[in-house]
Amino acid sequence: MPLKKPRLDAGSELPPPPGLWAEIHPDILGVVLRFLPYLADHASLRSVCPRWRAAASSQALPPLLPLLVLPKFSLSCLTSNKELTAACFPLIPEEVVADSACYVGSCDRWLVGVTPIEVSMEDYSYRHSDGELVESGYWTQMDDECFLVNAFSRRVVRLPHLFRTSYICGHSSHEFLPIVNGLGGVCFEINGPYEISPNKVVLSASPDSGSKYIMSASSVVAGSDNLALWQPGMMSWHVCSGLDINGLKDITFYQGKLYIFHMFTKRLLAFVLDEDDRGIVISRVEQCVT
Amino acid sequence: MEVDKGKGEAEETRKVAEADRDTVTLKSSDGKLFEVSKEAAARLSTVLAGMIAGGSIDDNGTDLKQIGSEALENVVDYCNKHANSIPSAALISSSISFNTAPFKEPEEWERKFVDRLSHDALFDLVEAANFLGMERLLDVTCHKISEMMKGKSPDQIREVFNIKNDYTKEELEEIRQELAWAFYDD
Repeated sequence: MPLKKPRLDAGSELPPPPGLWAEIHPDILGVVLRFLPYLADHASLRSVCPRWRAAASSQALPPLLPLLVLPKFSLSCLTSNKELTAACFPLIPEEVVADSACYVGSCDRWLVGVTPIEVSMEDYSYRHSDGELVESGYWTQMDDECFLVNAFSRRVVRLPHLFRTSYICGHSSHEFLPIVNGLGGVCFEINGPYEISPNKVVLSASPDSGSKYIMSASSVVAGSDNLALWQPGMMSWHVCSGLDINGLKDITFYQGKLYIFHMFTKRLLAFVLDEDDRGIVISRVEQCVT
Repeated sequence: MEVDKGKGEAEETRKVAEADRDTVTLKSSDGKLFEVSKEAAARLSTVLAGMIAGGSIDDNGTDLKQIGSEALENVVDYCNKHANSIPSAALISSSISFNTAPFKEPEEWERKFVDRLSHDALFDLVEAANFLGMERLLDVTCHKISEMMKGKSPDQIREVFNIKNDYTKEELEEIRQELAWAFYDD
């Protein structure tokens, strides 16, 4: 059957009446959104008008293609042409954009950044107000920051430093936890000296979730091979170490427990966590599959 | 078609007559009548299939009060064209590979069918497709709409669809943050 006169030729039409498209059925926008898996397109649609935003929020949609975090904390996402958008820098607060910062974890909209432990010697000099150089020498600086940054709101949460040389007198404790159902055990130390070089950090929940989230940092650097725990309110990391968790491992939170898969022994360990006035503590270590 | 033996003779005759017809008549909100193949209508629209199965199809034109004559004409055109088209080998989209049912890219004729529509007509058609439960037509029209949005900033989308930006100042600030990473200067 031949097509009968369409209302107007698409090329030569007048703009549609205002408000017509704003009223589109939310389910229809849901179908449209399924054809827009790219973050940028999705964000644009959501930003057109309040009705579209509400409609987009009410639809159960498949997950979008993720944002990629590139070196130096630039962000990029896939475009509809299946290319990466130009890396975008400006969002992260300058205070945490150090050249050496690297990103070792993410949760929801938050990224975990660390600047590695390194001691740097820098020139410094003071000049008197009349221009005379009065003092010069070297300055020793420890660069061992760890922070959470929200890539969207730019909020920064600073965590305790990754390097500590001293004990907190009278408050430190050192405990050996045997592995239930298995051989060996791990040492759990609170308020002692430590050195953490995380290659992976996981969070038990998003910092936005309202619940008290726990962070766990896994280090696999010889000399600082450990597992560190922290939650908001704690002034230092609580550190777990021992031969049974040395070397390559992967970590994840699941239903309140922290699971560690140890590559060398091929063992899956579950850390049962508890909380006391010192913060997060490990109450028990279990081997899951015997 | 099997006829219910328990019904009266007249009723039976009418039903037979109706069952024998291979088209159904649809009536738009402005009273225009359109004929469409019963088979295509039942296959392409869950709502029409339900009406045909439930016997609520009126020989004198089934009222579709929500659909204007222009949109209904497009719906009927689509059904007839679909009935006549020989389905090409299933072309599973490479660009959309979500866990939902795979979407078959619009065929050439479907593309042309939606491309010739004005924005108003496209709007009416997508609403009609949604109302009649025409999954394929809904996909094809929504695919077209998504192509009109791809790669565009909110301002450009508003311009295409003539939508007013009626956000409050606070909402705009929230959106500005959301968009900052989407790389548009809004």
